[in-house]
Amino acid sequence: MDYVLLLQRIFDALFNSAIYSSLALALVIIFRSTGLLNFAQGEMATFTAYIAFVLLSGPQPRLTGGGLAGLIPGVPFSIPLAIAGAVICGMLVGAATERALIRPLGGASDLALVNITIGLLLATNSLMAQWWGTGPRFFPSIFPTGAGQHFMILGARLRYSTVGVWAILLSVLVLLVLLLRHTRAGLAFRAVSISPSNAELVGVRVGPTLMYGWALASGFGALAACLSANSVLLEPSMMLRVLVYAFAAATLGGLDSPKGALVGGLIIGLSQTLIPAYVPFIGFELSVLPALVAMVVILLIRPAGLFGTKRIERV
Amino acid sequence: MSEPLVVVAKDSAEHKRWKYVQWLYLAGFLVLAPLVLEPFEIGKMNRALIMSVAILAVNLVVGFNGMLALGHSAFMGIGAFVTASMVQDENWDYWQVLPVVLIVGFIMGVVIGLPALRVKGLYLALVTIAQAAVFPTLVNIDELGIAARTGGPNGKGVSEEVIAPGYLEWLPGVDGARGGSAYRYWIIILMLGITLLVITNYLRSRPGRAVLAIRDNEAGAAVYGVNLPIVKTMNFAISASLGSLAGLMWCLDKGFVAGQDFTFLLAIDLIIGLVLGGVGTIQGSIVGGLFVVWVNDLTKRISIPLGLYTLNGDGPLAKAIFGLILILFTFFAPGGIVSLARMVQSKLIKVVPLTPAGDPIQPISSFDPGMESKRADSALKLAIVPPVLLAVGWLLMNVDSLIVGVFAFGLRMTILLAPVAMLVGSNELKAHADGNRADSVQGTANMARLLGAAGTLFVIVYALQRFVVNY
Amino acid sequence: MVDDVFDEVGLKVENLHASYGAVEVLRGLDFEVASKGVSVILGANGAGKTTTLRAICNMCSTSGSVVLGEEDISRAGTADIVRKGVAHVPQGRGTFPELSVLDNLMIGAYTRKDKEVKDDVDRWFEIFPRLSERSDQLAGSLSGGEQQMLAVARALMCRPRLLLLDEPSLGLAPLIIEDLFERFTTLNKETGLTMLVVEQNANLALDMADYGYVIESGEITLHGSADKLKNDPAVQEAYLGA
Ligand SMILES: Nc1ncnc2c1ncn2[C@@H]1O[C@H](COP(=O)(O)OP(=O)(O)OP(=O)(O)O)[C@@H](O)[C@H]1O
Ligand SMILES: [Mg+2]
Repeated sequence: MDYVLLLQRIFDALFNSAIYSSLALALVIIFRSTGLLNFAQGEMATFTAYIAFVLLSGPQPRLTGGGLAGLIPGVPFSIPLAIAGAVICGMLVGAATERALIRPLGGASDLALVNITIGLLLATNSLMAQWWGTGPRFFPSIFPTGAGQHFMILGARLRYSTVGVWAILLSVLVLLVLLLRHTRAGLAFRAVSISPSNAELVGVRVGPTLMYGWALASGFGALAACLSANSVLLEPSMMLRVLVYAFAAATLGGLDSPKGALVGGLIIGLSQTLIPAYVPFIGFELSVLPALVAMVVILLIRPAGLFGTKRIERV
Repeated sequence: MSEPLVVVAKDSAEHKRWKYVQWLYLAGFLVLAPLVLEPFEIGKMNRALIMSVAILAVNLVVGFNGMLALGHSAFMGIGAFVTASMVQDENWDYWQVLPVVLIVGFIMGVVIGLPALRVKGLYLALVTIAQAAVFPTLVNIDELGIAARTGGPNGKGVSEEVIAPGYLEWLPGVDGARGGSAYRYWIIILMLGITLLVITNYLRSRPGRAVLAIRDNEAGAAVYGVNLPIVKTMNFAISASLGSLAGLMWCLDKGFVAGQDFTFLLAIDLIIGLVLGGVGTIQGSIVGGLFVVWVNDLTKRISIPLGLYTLNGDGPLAKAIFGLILILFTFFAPGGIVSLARMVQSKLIKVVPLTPAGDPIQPISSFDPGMESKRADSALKLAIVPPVLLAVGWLLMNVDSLIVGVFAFGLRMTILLAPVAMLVGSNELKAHADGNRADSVQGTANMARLLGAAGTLFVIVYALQRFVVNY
Repeated sequence: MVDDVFDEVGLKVENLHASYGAVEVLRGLDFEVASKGVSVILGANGAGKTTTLRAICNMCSTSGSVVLGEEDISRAGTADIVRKGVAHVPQGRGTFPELSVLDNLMIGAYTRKDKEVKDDVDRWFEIFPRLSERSDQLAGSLSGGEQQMLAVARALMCRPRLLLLDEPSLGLAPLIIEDLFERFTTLNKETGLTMLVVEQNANLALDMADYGYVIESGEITLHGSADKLKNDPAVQEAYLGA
């Protein structure tokens, strides 16, 4: 066995893993803080990546779609500034979505929630296609990506961008765990996701808490989209496929566990690259299958996922 | 119309008569459709009815069992590919493939349902959406001879079109230009009819009631001795089997299947149809199928003249409008079109339930509005509006048949309300003869009866004429 | 209309209506709880006792006026009412089963900004040693009685001005009940905590209370000082099992 090649494959898989993990993390944040799932998470993230793209390119109607040209500031932004703008925009969109579409439902059935977020997915996707077209667009990377921009470790190349994405992902994860475990706000998030009415009774304002949860998750989704837009190319459906893997990652790890999202993303990303490479009868097309089979098996044994807490059903 | 136009006791002779009228409408709609519609529109109708079967399959799990399983596009795909492969490669007949497809669907349902149904709520939605998302890539697998059977990325065509054998050419519409699609229309109607019969009986049976009990209260159902995993899995498998049947119909109608036809966008279409029609009602599934295809079609058509972006004729606007519709319905009409239709129906006709002894719980005569009756006025409106819509439909059709074709057909079909106006008109005249109505009612009621009769006559003559033209 | 029987008013409720959907459950209640006083609400199952407490916290659709001290709180949201110093121990506990015992207490102090939260936690662990032993256990895995203790402790963690208790004795062993009510009495005497108690155990409740109301089908049919109610033949027959 060629260990350098194996290491190289692992390094390559790490980049995708980071992307899956970060979107999974966004899903987990929403689930953890609101008990809901947002099927439009990927689409909302892509939308904000387009915002970053618009900020980067400055006022060029050809790129930005006629309707939006007027909104764009005169000077192109630098990459970090544009990403920051996208994240802020993502937070606003997330908060607005919660306020306008989710809160008025008043905790209706799961199906209603699925309807709303899928409706949002469709609408956002097609509006993006309308404004920006469906052609892929180049989105610059925040990390150096050219030839030679990598570490050499035991003969395998580890790109700077992979390291960078993981550094960002891990620091966000640490912040998130600190927030949920050790702050008043984190406790409030958890209380609301368990029982909104009891949370009101201890003085937690449920509505705003949910809104912050959505803002947080959408902001994080925006970050994930901007970091991945360079490698998957920016187009309206770019997160659709990623979203399926992120779902799988989140389910695998346990929907309410940030740590689980990370591990789930790693498992999905690695198996996607490594299994087709070493298992002869599984071609690249089938590469998602092992991950999904793993997901089903884990759900069979532990319906709450690897790290998820089992819901305590009251009788 | 604040008061219903007609009040009948449940199961009384008059109630039955109104039921027959409703059935007559339905039959009229079904028979007229292949006669009146252009061939390409019949093709859409076929698509819609196939969607209806698939939506019914989703409804069985989501609406009647309360399980959020949303990946039925995959079962449709399985049915479609099995059919295409057997018919094209093995030269089987469709009716020979039918049992195979049903069984394969059922087995797939058990295989997927057994693990998937262990998880609940949104988790299940996740798992099943993943199932829908992977399916299109699975048909491209080179190993195990799968790609050879499915045609891989190129899809699989059935070279022989399904056309009517000589002894069935008497079917309405099956002749001349619209022959093939109209014949397939009748096959689809037949399959849909049988499906409806089977499913309604299934839901009334013991296992069917257990399925409903689980939806209403899972823990409670378990306490009453319902075996949850078995009932849920069986129901899921039946639903999967039905989804595969829709796939077979798809292949039969289109003669071509490809992985891209069965993406998770199709799964989303099914959900939209479900919500649009009405979750948890059989009629809702049928209506949902019709609307999903028609709205999709309509938005595509307006995208082009409005200069909106389209890709392969599938305008993004269509998806945006679907998204909007989904959100609006969830907020404002969670019961779907069926519940809206029931609201309208309750304005037209009120059915008074019976006491256990068999009498109406409130005497029918107590609903009689007496001298103040406005029923004749309402009946007159009902007699006037449909012809106007008919004319509007006609005009729209002639102005730009592309934009409004099917929509205009819908407008024109309101003429089927004419008999209601006629019957209410004569009811009022009878009441007047009995001295229960003011004299001023007489003229209006006469007018309503006359116009209603004219509309009815028009429908009959028109249908006859289409028959004559076609034979 | 109940006359102003107390000099100082802790909670004053006038013409309180409440409904679930189209069903009206409370049909114009008037009652008061004296500042630093304890009032009790008695009534049969389904009379509307729980609904009364919920209505005070604006947890169902209501009309009428609810005045806490000088302030009308009938339009405020539930969380804001809690922030104004009303703690509610709902029927069926209202703890968070997937949070640890300690976190349940901490979230109880959500509205507080002072530094003494930790001391209060320790105090409650002292009072209920069973909770202290299980401080890292998930609340949902506690026994019914332990959860009830947790619910009470959680409610008091916010240092309320008014405590609403909905059948605090439900599911507790008789000894624990007496102990708990003793604590309520002490709390009331020492800190002047105003309390409104719904209780099936009318004897205990009337011992602790200074005023009582009887609700039937959403209306107050009888009220008076605790002693008066205890000696009322109708009350004795219906609620004291005499
Ligand atoms: N969420 C609800 N929806 C509809 N009706 C309700 C609801 N909650 C309570 N009710 C009805 O309101 C009435 C009063 O209920 P409430 O819970 O206030 O009674 P209670 O006096 O607390 O009874 P108990 O002693 O059994 O706790 C009952 O008839 C009940 O059926
Ligand atoms: Mg109660």
